[in-house]
Amino acid sequence: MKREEVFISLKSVFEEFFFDEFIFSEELSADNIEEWDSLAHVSLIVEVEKSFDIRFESGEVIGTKNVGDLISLISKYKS
Amino acid sequence: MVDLKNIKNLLKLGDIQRVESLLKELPKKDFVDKIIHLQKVINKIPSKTDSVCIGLIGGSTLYPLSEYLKAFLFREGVHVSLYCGEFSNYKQEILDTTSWLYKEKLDLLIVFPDDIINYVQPNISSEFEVVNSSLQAFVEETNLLLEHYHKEKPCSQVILLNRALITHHDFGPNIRNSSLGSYWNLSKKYNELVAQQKKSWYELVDVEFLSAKVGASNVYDSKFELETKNIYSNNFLIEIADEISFVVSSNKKPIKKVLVCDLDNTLWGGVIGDDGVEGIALDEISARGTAFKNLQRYIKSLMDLGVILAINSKNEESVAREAFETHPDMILQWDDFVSKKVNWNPKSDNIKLIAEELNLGLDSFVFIDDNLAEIEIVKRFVPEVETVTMNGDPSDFIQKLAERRFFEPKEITDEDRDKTTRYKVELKRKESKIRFTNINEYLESLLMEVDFKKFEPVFHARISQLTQKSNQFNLTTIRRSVSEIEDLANDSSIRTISTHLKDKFGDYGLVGVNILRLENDSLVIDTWLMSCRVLKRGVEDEILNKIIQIAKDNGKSRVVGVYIPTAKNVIVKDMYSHLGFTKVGDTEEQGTKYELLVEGYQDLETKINVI
Repeated sequence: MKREEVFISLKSVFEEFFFDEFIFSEELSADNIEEWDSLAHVSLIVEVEKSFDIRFESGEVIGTKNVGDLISLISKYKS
Repeated sequence: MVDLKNIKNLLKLGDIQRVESLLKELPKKDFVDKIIHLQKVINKIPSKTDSVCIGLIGGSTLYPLSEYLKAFLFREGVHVSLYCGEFSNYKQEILDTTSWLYKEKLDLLIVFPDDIINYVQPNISSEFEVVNSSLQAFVEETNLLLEHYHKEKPCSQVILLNRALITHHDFGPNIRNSSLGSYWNLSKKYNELVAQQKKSWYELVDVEFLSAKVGASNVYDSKFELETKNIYSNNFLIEIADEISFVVSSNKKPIKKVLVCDLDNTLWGGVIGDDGVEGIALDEISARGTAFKNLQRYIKSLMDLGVILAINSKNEESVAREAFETHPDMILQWDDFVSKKVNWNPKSDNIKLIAEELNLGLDSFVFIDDNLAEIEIVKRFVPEVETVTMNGDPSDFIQKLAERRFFEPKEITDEDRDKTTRYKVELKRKESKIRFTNINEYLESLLMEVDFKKFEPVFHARISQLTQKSNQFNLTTIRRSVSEIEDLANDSSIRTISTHLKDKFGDYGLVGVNILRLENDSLVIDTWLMSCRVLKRGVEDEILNKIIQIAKDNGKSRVVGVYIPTAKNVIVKDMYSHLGFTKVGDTEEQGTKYELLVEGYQDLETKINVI
């Protein structure tokens, strides 16, 4: 899966998941979306794993600061 | 498919009602699949004034369980205001009467206790008694906490969760069941103690049962646990939320009291008016017939639970009644049905009439039918009635009805308890009868009864099936179609026996088939087959007594038997010798021919009572 493809798929996961308006970009992070708190993060990751049919290793997701990092992580499993 | 966009748009437009009904109409599977999104939708719906106030406290993270719980309850039509306790702070919250627990007007408190593993911290070398007493202390402590709350807030309902069984961290069968250091054993023991010491004023949500239902491999997710401090996997939390929501919402719904049954293709396979009593699928031989018989057994046990049964069928009443009265495999009896509407009127009208007759509200009715059109009519004209469509594979029918959980008793009444005592007395009586020291005493204790019949039309299909399927206890293995059986039954040179056996454990139905031919001075055993379930009980001895009787009645001096070997019937190779026949030679089909003289024959003794 190319990085651009991951970007597009992840964009639709985010759009389905969040109610708040946001502009999806690599720089987007929890700071930009009010409802993206630590609890929503748990569900978001469950949803990302489900839609990409992958399973991150424990601790991996903690290191992701923004959408760009998350895309890199997903790409690692989808290469 | 869930149209999330549409739901979100409707929500933005403020059409709450439409959103609510869309969510309720979603099939359960879709709802569960999209629950993460849907719970967010539900959170946006402003709470109502009549909402139920729920407190959720516990020893592990309560998110996302809390969200799933809200979502499921919403789907059940229960609006909630849900308050969550702090992570692992539930003991203090209960003990401190100034805490939020006592400020909110809670209708319900749900308690998800500490993980026993953290509390007990067992290891393999721990003494059994040490771990056991620490486990005991934990259960007592939980009870004391709940009691404290209950005294302060007697009107608030309380629900306690037990523990899923733990299959990981296993050291093999020798350790598994002997040491309480084994998590498997520990979790089992814990649940046992919780159940034993449960107080009547709280309810238990049986997480152990749920874990068995979904399989332990779906219960745990170690990464999810490490990262989110949830002891169970995300999917299992959904399962728990579903169960809690069932317990909560079923207390608020009208109790179902009546099961209204269609007949054709619902209680049996086929159409009685077309196929006749002999033609319907209801037996214990074919898979399809057994499925319907099992459904009838399930419905009978509902009746034993106190559910009222009724019939609502498009048929001629006399035809339907005849089926109940003459079909040998009918578990449900005509009189089991308190109300019977067998006519050509709309089924919705029939249900209204039944409700009037029984003086019960329509919302206490459940209707089952295989026909979608009938289900639609009932849904439209008596919407209070719950319906279950019994279409597709009949082996799923019990599941279809059971999974709706309409008839689960809410509480055990005194009468039920009396019943239990009565059962126990009954059981004791039975037990005392079961004592025996040798085979004869055992056979005697079975209280067997045999009924010999000629081939009767209702049994023709089953007799044919037995000739097609019996391989082991089958002396000649001659296969016959239903029409061949019919011809034999009407043939004046043929005598037939169908053997029916009962004992104190139940009715085995048709267990033996004999076809006998009158030939010169002999009675020739053309077919002798029996169900292997009833071997070694003396049934074959009684059959021989009967055969000799038939020979005498027809003035024959000898009985001739033939054994034709196949790959599967070795079991009866020497049967005729054992029964006292003399070998007289071989037949053309590589069989062995035996004969027995009628004169001088003494009836074989058995422990069977011939009716």
